Amino acid sequence: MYSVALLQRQLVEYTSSLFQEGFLDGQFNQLQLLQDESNPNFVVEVVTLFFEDAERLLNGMEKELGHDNIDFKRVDALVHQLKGSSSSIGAQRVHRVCIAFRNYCEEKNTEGCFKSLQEIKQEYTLVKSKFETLFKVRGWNKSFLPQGVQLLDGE
Amino acid sequence: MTAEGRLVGEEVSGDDFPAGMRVLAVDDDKTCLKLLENLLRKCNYHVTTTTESVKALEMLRENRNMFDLVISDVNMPDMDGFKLLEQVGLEMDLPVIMLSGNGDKERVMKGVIHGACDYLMKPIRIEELQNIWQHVVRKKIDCKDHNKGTNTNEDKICNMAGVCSQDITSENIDNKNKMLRQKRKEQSDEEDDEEEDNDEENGEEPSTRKKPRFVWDAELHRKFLDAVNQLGLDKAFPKKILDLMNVEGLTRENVASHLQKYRLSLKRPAKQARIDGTLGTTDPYLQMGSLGGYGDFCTLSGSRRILSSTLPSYASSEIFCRSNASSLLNSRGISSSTLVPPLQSQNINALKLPMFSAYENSSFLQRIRASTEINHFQQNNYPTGNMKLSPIDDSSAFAVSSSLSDIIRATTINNANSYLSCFSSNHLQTHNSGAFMNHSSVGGAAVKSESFNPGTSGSSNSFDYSRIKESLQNAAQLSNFASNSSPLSEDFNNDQLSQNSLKFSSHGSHFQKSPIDFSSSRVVAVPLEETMPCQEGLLGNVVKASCYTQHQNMSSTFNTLNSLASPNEDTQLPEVENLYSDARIESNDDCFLQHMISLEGFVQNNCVSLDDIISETVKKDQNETKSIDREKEFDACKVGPK
Repeated sequence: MYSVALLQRQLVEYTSSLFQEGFLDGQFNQLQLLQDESNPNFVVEVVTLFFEDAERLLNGMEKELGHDNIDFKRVDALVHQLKGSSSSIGAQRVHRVCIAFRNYCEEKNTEGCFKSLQEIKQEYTLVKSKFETLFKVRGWNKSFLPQGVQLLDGE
Repeated sequence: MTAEGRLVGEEVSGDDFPAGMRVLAVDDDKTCLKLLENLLRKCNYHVTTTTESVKALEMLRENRNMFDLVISDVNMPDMDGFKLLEQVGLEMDLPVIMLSGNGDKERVMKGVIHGACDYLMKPIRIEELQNIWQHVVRKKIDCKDHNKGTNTNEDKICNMAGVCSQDITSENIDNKNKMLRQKRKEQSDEEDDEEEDNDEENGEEPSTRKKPRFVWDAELHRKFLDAVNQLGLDKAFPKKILDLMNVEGLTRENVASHLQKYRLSLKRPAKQARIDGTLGTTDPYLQMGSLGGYGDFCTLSGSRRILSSTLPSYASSEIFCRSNASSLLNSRGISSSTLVPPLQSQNINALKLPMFSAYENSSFLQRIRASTEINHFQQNNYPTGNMKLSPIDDSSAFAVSSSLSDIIRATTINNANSYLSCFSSNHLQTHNSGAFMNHSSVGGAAVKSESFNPGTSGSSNSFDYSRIKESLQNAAQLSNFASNSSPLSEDFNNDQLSQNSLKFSSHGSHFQKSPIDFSSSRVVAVPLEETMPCQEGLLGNVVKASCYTQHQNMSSTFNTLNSLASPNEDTQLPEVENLYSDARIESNDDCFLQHMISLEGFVQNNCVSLDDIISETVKKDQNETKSIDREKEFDACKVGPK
């Protein structure tokens, strides 16, 4: 049977791998800091919010880029927002693509914009699944780990 | 919990402040907003959030005392964050912190200009939020001070500055404080005291960085000088000066600080180097200081600035220079330099001033050296050895000359200014008279050539004589100066002068008065090259002037120099040539030097330099009777139409 310790270790490793692969950065730690007893679901809440926001923004971008006359300013505004929120939760890779995307918008580079959009969607999907896994593993969904198990990584 | 903070209205500034501080957070991004909210809660603040600026304003208007601090995002769809910022600042006078994912300098600047207390970058970290309460406290303090009339603040500043702030009334505190700070800063700069936040303040006019400060333009400075001279430096008190100047809008503090700077620059030519850097600016003080630190000045790009600034001013402020020069002379060489308030228009004056002060006390050679040094800053290649002017005794005139030539050389390379110095230095170095002559031609040529062009500052320092020669020759072309190869004959001066519209006349007077000019001119020469194309002419003139002095009295050279200096156009160069040729005649090392020096100075100050140079040379040649003759010529030359 899987020992709890092992599980915990796996959790820790998984989390650090996320950091190492650049999916997450230091900002995510800030989020974790804010989660405590009075605020037990903080991280999940924030990240969920992020997912909602991001999806909305991505749809908006797609729509804008689908126009014949692309309004790059609008696209840029959307990307800017996504950039802000992704950086706030520490979704580093998404954040990076946003920066590149913004440059393309400034240059009014349609090709570049489309390319970036694809990239962002990819990254977003990736990070979303990572987060979901993380939540599961961490028991933030409280559905995985047995009660009373203390998670190691500073929760 | 957002509403709670609002409704409860508990005491925020209670004992556990900053805990409980009421913050209104506005951000259209829900993720960020949530994060922000939680971060703020973690800092024990009361947080109210909204994603709409309009709503935020409503809440604020409802009850101003409901919140202590507002944090707002910059990019928001319904209302620009900056607008919100402005509104809040205007209506509620609450501290507002801007948030943005974009940290461009322009944006931050915009935020600051719109009145933001702080500008934070996303992603927000808790550390940054932990200290935002300081803005609340600061705002309260400012308000209190404002109400009180801030006498204490002012007094403190005044005391520090050492200036009696008798006039401190309950004016706009901000302005006062600003002024006081500026004053203090100026004074501190001079004394090397602790400086205010403006580190670059070192004698520099923080015109751009700080709020608008009082600017001493040429006109004002002239009035100031007149007043000071009228009263006598010892008896010059700010109040009296103010009355004499009779300028609207001028306050006693302005005058006081200006006077202090002036005095300081008079006293410490050596330290002007500090200011030299800033000389580039129109800061008159700097210019004043430049004399002393001319060498440094040269090294400082500032000198370039000054030159450029001075040059144009020279042309325009010909009269000013003249009058200034004389007044300067009267008061003291240094004072003239100190009188170099930032007269944008009259940069020359500024230049002159520095020159004066610098040279006033040092030997002519010394000055020359200084100028060479200065030149040499422009061009690294300058034979610094020569350039470095240290007290040069007559015997070292040669050295000086060499430095001058160096200077000239240097100047030519980069700018006209440097040109002159190069010339002089080169000349000096190579040969007393002969060199000079060569130089003169060279210098003239050089002067004329791009060296004068400030733009050519990029030119290599490898100033070579030939170049100088060319320039000198060119210079000759510029004016009939060249034709005046004969010893400073009147014609030379006259023609030249007229052409160059040199302040020659002023120089002449300077001659009599003090050699200060020369040295200053030398210094001037250096910068001149840099900045002004006019400088070319100046250089030529300077060179010529120096030549002249050699031959005859310093004055004569100066004259030429002056004429050289004043030439604002390129045509001036030829004069330089003449100068040189004259020098040859004299083949007097010293003269040469002096010529050079004057040239340099001239170059630097277009107008000033010549004056300076001349004065310098005059001083140097006190023994020489010729100087008298020269002066006459000089006067004759004064014709120079300006």
